[in-house]
Amino acid sequence: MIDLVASSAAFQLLISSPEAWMWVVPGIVIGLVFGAMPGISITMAMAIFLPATLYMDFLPAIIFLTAMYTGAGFGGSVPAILMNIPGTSSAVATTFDGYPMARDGRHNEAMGVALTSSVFGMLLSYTVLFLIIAPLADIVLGIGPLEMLVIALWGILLLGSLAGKYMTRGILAGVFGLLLGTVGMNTAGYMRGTMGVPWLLDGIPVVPAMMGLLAASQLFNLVNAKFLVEDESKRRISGRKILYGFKQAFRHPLVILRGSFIGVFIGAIPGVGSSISNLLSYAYTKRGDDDPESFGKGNPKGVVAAESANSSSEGGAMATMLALGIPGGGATAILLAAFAMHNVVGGPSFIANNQDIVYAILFANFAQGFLLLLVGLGFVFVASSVVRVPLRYLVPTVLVVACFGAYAVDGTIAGPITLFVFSVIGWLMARYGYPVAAVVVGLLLGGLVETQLLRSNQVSGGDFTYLLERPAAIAIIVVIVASMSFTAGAKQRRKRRVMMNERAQNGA
Amino acid sequence: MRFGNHRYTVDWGHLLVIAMIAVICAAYLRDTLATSTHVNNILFVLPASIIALLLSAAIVPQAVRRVAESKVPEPAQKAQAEEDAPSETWRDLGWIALLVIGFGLFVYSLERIGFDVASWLFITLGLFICGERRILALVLYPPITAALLVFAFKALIPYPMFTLIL
Repeated sequence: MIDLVASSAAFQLLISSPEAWMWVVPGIVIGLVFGAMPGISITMAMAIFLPATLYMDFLPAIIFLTAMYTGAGFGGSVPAILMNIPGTSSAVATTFDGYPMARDGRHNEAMGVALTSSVFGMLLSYTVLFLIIAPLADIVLGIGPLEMLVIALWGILLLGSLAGKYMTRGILAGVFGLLLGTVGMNTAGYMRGTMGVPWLLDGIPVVPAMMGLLAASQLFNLVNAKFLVEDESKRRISGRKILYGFKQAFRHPLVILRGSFIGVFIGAIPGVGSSISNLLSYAYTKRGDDDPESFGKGNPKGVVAAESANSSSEGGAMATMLALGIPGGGATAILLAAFAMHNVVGGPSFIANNQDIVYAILFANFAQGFLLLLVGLGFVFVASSVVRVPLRYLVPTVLVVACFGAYAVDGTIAGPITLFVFSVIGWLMARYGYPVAAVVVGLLLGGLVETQLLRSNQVSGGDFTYLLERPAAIAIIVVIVASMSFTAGAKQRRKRRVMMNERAQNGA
Repeated sequence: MRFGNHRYTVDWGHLLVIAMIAVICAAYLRDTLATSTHVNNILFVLPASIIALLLSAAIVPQAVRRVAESKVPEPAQKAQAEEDAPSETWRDLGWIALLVIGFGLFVYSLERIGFDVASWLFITLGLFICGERRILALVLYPPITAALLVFAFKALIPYPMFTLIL
């Protein structure tokens, strides 16, 4: 499992390249800033800085880029907690409890919890990877279109069934999102739902839609509020409270552990990865908790679950990239491009021939985790001041930033238009108790779900018995059915208990 | 509202949301079927649209509730109705609607009057809608913020941004 010779060679490589370490802190800061800016994705940041790495040696270049990747992993959570805007799609579940905590004046605590869970989730994921990077590659290779399809459906159904009070509204929101996610040209070349608009051929722009559904719709509701945190005494930025958040995260080691394992294994699946892992971790934490009703209202466990999973899925995505040469998303694709720029070919031969470099990258990421803890603390301190800004200034300014961010995605007006349309849809849906996060995830995964369904159909020739040849898919379907039935049953039981209590109180 | 012997309360806003989702799904299904009925085109969209329409129909009773004929409503029913009803007043809703319209106009004007001027105007309008009444703040904050944001985004993104002044 662990190659000790390669490990010691990796240590020597890192010790003999002090230049590589010089780039870690700037990389983390760039990642934090870009990750925290809605619309400016980490992929864009890495693409902007990629040419600069051409003049570095291979290891410093990769460490600089992975430091940015690490910083952005947490950076996306900052606006998710403070403004309900997930900086990245993997921070969607962080908004569920992070934002209510911030509105409740517990922003310091929420940020501390998020940073700690993020760092320790990431450290755990790299530890796991260090031990199992080779077998994990074999598992990823065994995943076919059917498994990817059921994993994507798993995420969306779990979110739909758990978020909000009504299961029907949650599932409708998820299915609605999935349908919107298939607008445009599908993999078979059919164009649907474009209404003659050319830019819809590529589908609905996901990042602006996500910002509209989650953020702009929330901002509309803040028109009549004075501050993000109404109670003046709770608006202070307190290092003590951030540190309390640190401790708070450690009170739930099982949640961190579960989140990290979900993150590593789901994150390793190209395309599905981090968008789903944070939702699965959140859903299972909520379900297994004694007080599931407190989730969505500012339960720190929700933040721990989401953050530990999304940061550890970074490790999973790195594993797939290193072991198979398959990038799971934009950021790992840029890392692969950096490999190519230095004449290094990624893929199975890379891990076999350069195990010392692979271990050096893993060790460097480990060190980045600890540095993120320090740099992130300073960043959180500065970013938290947003709660002290009066909402009358914050609301229009953030709407403009969101609009510019939506434009920044591809430099066309398509982004701002999508942002506006989805902010109205999101506001209407949120007003009547539909979990807009389910629409967001549906939008993210709609194209993937349809593509994998088409591939499964082609591979099986339309024969349903093909399912029997895929035990992993059957196992996931069984888990989906069992967990949905459990959730439905638990919701019914809770409703009955509330009604009986009320009747008893009225009778008395 | 009365149907036969029973009285019903209708949450029109919720009914509108259900109708919006159902209409979008039905229109998308219609467009998909009009494009082609080949299995590669409808394999996902057809069943997903049908599920969405069935779920929409299943949710309608949550927006149209039968009122108990007894004078005192059931406590659970009353609590449910109170919990489900949005809490804003008409005045609050008016300000929200104004901001939504302003935001729509801002998006529309971005490429017509430039990102700088559009942002300036929208931030001024937004400040006013959100309750700022001090003239100095309304005059100074919007142009400074708009300029800073435009400069920052121009430096960060690789695409041209149309501006009128900056």
